[in-house]
Amino acid sequence: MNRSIFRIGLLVLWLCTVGIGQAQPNESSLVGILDPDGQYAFAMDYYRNGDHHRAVSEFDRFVHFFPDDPRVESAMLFAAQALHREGRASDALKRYRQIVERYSGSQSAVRAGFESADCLMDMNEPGEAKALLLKMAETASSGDIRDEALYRTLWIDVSNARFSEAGRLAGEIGPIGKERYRIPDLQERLDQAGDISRKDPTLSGFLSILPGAGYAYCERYRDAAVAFFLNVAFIAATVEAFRDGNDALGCLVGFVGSGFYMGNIYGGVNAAEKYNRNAIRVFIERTASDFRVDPRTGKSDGVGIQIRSVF
Amino acid sequence: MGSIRWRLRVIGVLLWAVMSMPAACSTPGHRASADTLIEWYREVISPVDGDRCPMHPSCSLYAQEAFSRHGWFLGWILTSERLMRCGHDEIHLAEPIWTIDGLRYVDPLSSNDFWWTERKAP
Repeated sequence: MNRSIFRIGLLVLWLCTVGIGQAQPNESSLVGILDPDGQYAFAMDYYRNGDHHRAVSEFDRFVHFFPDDPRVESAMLFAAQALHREGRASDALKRYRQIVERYSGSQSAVRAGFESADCLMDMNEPGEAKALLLKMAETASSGDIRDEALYRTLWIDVSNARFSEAGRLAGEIGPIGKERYRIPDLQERLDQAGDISRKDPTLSGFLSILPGAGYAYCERYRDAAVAFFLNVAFIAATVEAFRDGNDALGCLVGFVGSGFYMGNIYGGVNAAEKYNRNAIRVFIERTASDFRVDPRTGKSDGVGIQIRSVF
Repeated sequence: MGSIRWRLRVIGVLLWAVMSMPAACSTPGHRASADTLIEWYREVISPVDGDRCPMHPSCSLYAQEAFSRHGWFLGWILTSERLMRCGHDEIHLAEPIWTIDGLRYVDPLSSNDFWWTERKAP
């Protein structure tokens, strides 16, 4: 009898401790340990302090444990932004796309769309970024969103030296956007793109028939002098070697000299191409520094431009 | 008569050089020989000659890349062109950077063949 009571007592004790503990779901055991406000604030602390790696984990934790919280949308956006700032543009892009799908039509989805375009630019996909922004402009629910999409597209064109296309897009921006983004001033500057000082590579190459003349045309006077004297020296040495009957030496010097002569012609064309590219780059950087505005803050300080394309 | 003869010789040499270089095309063997030659220069001549090239990458590294990317003909032209430019106007135009060897001026191959590669691309 005593033994039975003892066994029943043991069973009850086991059920009260281990058995019931196992029957409870794991998540509910975190209630009281994690609360949504604390978790969100904790993630935001990491985000604000620039610890993006931890911020992503903490925002993910928030989304996992509190899926019904109204801040899930912004937590997902912050997590994606943290990934982007960490330099993981392709991972961030996937998350932005998830936000666009899940919260279609919301403000977060619009923000995620713009951020996706930034990710694509960082991934050196300006064509895809432009297509995405143009689609956003087409389907925009408000004039502000349309203007921002067009403004962002415009700068993609500027960074690729497509100034007339950028000017055309600037003209499509609405009156409020035009004032906000200083579009008339920007258009005036873009119209000056045709006045960028350029050198003709073909003419430069042709002039290089006289060694150094191509470099001189591109305002590289030291290079011109070196190319001229070096080529004259090689030609004179080759001629002298043959005159003296040293055919082998003549061939050797002529062979080396021919490389420098062709290099001088290539250099003439190259100098013109580099001159043009540099002039365009300076124009783009100056335009961005004078007119580019951050669409989110409306401020122009510290907004640079990425120039990756070859033009 | 003699004058015509030497002129023909000069033209012949230039033609031979121009014609033979594309033939000595960018086969792996030729690339390897160019690499060996440049490596030999870097190991034997350069330490004696001193670290004088102000550009980054140095002319020998630039040449190595030019030969391996464009083959003998264009590699040789690009190398000659770089040697002519080395340390002159480019140092006033290129971006300066601090390297382990001191102040250098950035002039990679991609800054000098971008238009060539762009035109060759379909």
